[in-house]
Amino acid sequence: MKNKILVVDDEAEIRKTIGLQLEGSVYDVVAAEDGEMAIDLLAKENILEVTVIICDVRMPKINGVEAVAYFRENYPAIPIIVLTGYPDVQLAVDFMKSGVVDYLVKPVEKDELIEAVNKAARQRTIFSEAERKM
Amino acid sequence: MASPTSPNPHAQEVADPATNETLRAAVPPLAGLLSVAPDAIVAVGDDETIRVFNAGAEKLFGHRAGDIVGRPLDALIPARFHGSHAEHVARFRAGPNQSRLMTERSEIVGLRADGSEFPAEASVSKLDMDGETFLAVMLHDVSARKQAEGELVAAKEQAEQALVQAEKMAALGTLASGIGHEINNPLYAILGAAEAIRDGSDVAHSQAHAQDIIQYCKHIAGIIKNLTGYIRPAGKHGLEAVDVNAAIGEAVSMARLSRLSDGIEIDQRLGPVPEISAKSEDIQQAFFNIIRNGLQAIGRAGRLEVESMCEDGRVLVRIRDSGSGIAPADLAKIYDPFFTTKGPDEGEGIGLFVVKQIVDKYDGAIEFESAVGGGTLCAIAFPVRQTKQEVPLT
Repeated sequence: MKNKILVVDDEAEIRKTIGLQLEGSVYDVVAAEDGEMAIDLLAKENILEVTVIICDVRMPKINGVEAVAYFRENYPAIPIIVLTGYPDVQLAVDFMKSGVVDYLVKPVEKDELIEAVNKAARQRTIFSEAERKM
Repeated sequence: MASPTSPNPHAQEVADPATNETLRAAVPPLAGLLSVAPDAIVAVGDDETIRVFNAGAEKLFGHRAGDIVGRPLDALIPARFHGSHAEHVARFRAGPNQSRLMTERSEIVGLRADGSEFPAEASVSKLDMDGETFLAVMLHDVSARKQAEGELVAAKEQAEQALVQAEKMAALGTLASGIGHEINNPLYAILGAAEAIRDGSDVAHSQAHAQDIIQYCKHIAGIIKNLTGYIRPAGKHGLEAVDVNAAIGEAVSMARLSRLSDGIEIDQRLGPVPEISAKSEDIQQAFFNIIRNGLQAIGRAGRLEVESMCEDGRVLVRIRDSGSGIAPADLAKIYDPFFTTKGPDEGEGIGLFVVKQIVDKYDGAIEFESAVGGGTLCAIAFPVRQTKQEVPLT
């Protein structure tokens, strides 16, 4: 079974681009238009199948900051990559402190994205194994 | 107040003993008082010659009492004020007031012995003695205060300029981050599509990706075009007949292109309207800025109505949004440059400033009606274009 990557971004072209970049990889993309939809989706999905969340910052309804806080609180096992078109050092520092594994600025190349997702996925595996042993 | 019959307290300051018998007979201790007083004290008699000139006056005017006493008061006043000063003196002598602040009428200017001038504050009192009315003037130099005031005003202006500059830089920073975000998204999409062409072998897929790239490039071009509209409207020359409905249509398309209207219903009810005299890009810009504000106020979902009509020789356009509305306190500030209630990357606060410039330029009118939570109505009107009268061929 392929690993699921949950992409949260309000821009259709970005969701499509991430899908293109991860096409042919070991990952399947599940997409949400905003934080609210992502939260609903996570409640329905088999959580064990969601490997990594890729989340935008500027989104309507629930924005990236709020969404990441929710994911960290409710799904601490799922590593989060923040992917934004709005580079901001303070925002990056805040996100890293909140426990996201990576902060990428659009546009990001395919290889860079896959590497970031691979790294995050390894963390997910380590976490799951640690959980199993406990 | 001294009564006409009491001994004259000013008398000891008379430098020329021959001028007035009464003054010479004054009480000695008061003479010392006059000499130590920091203010300049000058008194003139009925004939407007100087009778009293204390130490303060010597210091201020640079005249020695012995040289100036007996000379006309005009010696202490710049020549250009002689006429008006004489009028004031005559009026005061005839009037009922015993004393007044001379600065009530205007700034007092004194003339020093060396010919230089100084600003002064003065008060004048009337004193009747032995049938003669003396005018005693107390004055002090306010040059230092004036200079300090001048420096304060200059410092304030400098601080204001620095503030305006800082606001401009902040606006530029906001604009830059806004542009960054707007352009990075389509750039990312272009990158992804180009990688897909590079790594793929299916021609049909590649063509579809190339088509996407073209579309994203156009999207970026549209963003740049919108941004360049932020400049102040240019001169009034080269006016053309502008179809307001077409300008509204263009503005709505621009709003759709910038993806602001996703999820928002835009209802256009455009009536038959005559042309106006303007530059189409200005009119389009004005409508776009108002529509953009409306869409941003609505947010995710709502309704924006645009209607046009002809009324009282004007083309009237009403743009109504179902957005968050404008607080009464903010309504007065909406045209101020850099005033904004939007988020850090939604605007720089110059949209309506530009709209106002455009409306004023074409002798138009603009009005906003709004209630918090109840949406906003913007009514904007431009005079109908005056067509030249045709000359009958006779």
